[in-house]
Amino acid sequence: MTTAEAQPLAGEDIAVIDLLDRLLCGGVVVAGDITLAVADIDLVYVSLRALISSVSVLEGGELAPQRTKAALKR
Amino acid sequence: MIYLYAIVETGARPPACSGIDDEPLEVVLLGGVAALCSTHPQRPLSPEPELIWRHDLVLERAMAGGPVLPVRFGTTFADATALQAALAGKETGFRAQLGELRGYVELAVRVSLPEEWRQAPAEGRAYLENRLALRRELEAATQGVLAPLESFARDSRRLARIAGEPFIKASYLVSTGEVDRFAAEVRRLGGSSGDLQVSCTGPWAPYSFVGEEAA
Repeated sequence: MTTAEAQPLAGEDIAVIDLLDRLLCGGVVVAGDITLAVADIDLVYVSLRALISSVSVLEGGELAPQRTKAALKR
Repeated sequence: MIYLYAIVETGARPPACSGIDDEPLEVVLLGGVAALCSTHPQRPLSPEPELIWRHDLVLERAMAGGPVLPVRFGTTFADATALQAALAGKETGFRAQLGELRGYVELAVRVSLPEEWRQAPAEGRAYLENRLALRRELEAATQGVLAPLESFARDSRRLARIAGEPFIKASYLVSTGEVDRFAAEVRRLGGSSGDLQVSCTGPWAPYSFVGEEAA
């Protein structure tokens, strides 16, 4: 669940990875139907990495401005 | 098909947004707790960006109204009967957890070593030496950053390291009133930790603190 490139991760990328760590690996697990293909998860990492999150990101002492998820609507 | 976002308190109202596929959110009572969910025609779900963000948006809005137990992304049930059956007998545990998590949020911290660590030697003795050195550096980062933050949180979880990757991650359960203080401590530790890169994201619903005991 990581990136392989040499560039440091931008705050948005870290927020997306933190989001995916939680939604896909955390949370209450109940005996419902979870039908997620593992292969899809890598794909979603790639496609989400370009997106902007609304969570605030602290990095290198800076608190990034609050961003809006509205930017994600296509 | 019923998509389940979270377990909430019986008095909770649906957040003022729609669920995935723009379907309306509902709060379904299940004994002592309630399920925050939406109803859909049967469809396959994969973790596409729109669905991921919608799930997260629903949780973020729901958190503003009271404690939530976030449910793993992609959890669905054939119908209301299947939902009730899956949660039967767990209401008491869920209620207790909701009570314990009231007023707390999750913060995620990541500590990364400088990027040079990604250009590791591929083989031989140099490879092994690099792996050992990486392990030592990450252990030092754990003791230097992740461990001190624990005293600013009620609970914490260190995520398993990924072999060969130059970073470590942890989750912290922090009172909403202490988020700023925690963030200030992250900045302070980041500023005094040489070339380590320290990041903190959140507040998240307590995804990492609703583990096995509720399942």
